[in-house]
Amino acid sequence: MIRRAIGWWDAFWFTPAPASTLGACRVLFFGSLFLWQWHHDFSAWGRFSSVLWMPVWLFDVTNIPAFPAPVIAVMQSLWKASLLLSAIGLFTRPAMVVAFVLGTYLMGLPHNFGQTQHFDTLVVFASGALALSRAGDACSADALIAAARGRAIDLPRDDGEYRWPIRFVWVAMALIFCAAGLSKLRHSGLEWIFSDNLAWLLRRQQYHISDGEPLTRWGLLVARHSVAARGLALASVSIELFYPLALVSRRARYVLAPAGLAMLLGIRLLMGPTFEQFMMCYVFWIPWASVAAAVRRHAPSGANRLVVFDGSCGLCTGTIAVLRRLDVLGRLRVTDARTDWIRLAAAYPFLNLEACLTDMQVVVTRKNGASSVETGFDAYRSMAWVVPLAWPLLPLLYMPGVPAVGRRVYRFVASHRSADTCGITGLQDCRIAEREGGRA
Amino acid sequence: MSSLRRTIVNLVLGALIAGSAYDIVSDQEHWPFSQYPMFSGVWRSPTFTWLRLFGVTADGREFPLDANRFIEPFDQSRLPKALRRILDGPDGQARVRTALADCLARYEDLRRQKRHDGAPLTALRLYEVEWTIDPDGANIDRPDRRAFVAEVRP
Repeated sequence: MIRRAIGWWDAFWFTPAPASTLGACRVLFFGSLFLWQWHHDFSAWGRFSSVLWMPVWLFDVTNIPAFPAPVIAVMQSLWKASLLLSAIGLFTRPAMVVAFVLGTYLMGLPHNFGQTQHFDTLVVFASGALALSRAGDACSADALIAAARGRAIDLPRDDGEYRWPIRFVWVAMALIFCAAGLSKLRHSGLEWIFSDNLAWLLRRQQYHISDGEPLTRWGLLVARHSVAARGLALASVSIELFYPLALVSRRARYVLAPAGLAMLLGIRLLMGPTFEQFMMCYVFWIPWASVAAAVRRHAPSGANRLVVFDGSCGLCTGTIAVLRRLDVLGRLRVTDARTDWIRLAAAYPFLNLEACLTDMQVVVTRKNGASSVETGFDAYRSMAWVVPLAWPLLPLLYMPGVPAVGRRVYRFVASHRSADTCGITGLQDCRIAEREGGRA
Repeated sequence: MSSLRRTIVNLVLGALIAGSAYDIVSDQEHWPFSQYPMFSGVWRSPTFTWLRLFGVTADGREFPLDANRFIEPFDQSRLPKALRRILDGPDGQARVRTALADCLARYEDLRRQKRHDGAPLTALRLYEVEWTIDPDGANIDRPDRRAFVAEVRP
């Protein structure tokens, strides 16, 4: 029995999962939080006198005060910078730790001034989980840098490391919803649902008493119809109480996760309380790796691109590792000219080994079967058409003058990489050795 | 995943569940853990009272500071509740006047920064206002009653 429970626990938290899903969650979570908080100024809390300071538990037991406004201003600048770095995945681990520590202080600070609101507790939990996670292994600048430097040539394999942080946010969200439902039943019983309670609440919220104004006056319309108000109350409590089922049942997940989001939107529209930060945590419910796979299956394929590179060249291998990470649409195939030359020469007789070992080549095969070869800068420009992250650069790559400069830059880099990566015997010797190996 | 790391992660997972469960069962709040009691009380009354700040202009006119932009970083939920807690505590009247002085200074700071379009104030008053809830919200600006609580001047 205990063994079975432990097995279930391990399977729930640590079944191998793709790094890209957690990476995408990190990008979207920290990115949206950064944008949301960009204009938010916490420093004003440092200007109030102590009569308004009523510390919540965490600040009370740790004896953390409201720092002076200039100190808070510095902290929030560091926090926002850490959110941005966490989103783009640069210095990811330290950035996420800073985002968690400073975020806990800054988001917790307002709750020490008279009222504890609940729209950001999940953000604190999610930040904590990510700070402890390896969420920077994919979809991050760090991963691209590591790939370019040859430290992480292969894509990260599925691992339990990439599942538990996501499940952590799921569980935290389920606990929050369920606790809210239980609180209603504990304090009000079924009267919360089967009375005019919600109708009164919806009307009362119009009187400028919320942390945010209701975005609409639809609450008054709902309140006019007792059945509608009671139905809404029943739906709300049901969603809250049954939300934990979303953790264990895929079918329940498909219903309860969107229903919970709809309820938060409804609260914002009808009643006012601002749960936008809570809603950001919904990015953790989306299986991004599966979404990317579906996009790959259904997006128009266009021309195939075969990238031919020199596998003995460290710079080329790093570049290919970077390209494989950026190729979210799966439109690039890569092959090492050294190890695959016999097959390549048979399939594409117009290719030349000398050229393949000198410059990166991209064989573009169109739907009508026609093939062409792009080389160097033009090869990169061709690949940019199928790498979404490069799409904003495409107009620039076709601007007059840019290709000429690009080809010169490519030539400079390519000539230097030859000396660097085949430096022991010289590039020429590498090629000779390869040719001999190829013939053998 | 090393066994040490897995142990650490398991401890964190356990802390999340245990901390939440404790607050839920004991009906307490230890931020960021909570029993999430928002809106959990049942509402039966057609009337309600709320603390509201009113600004007083040089010509003696009063207007309610009923938008968040006048009282930022506070909001229309947090500030009245904070003031209520102060009033209900020891030496409430004196302490609430200190809090109101902060609010008045903040209002003027925000006004000088053009973060709101409110008039310059010669005083800030706190009232307890009472409404009978109107089905159409037609009396939002016309409470049934208001009781003076405190006033501060710059």
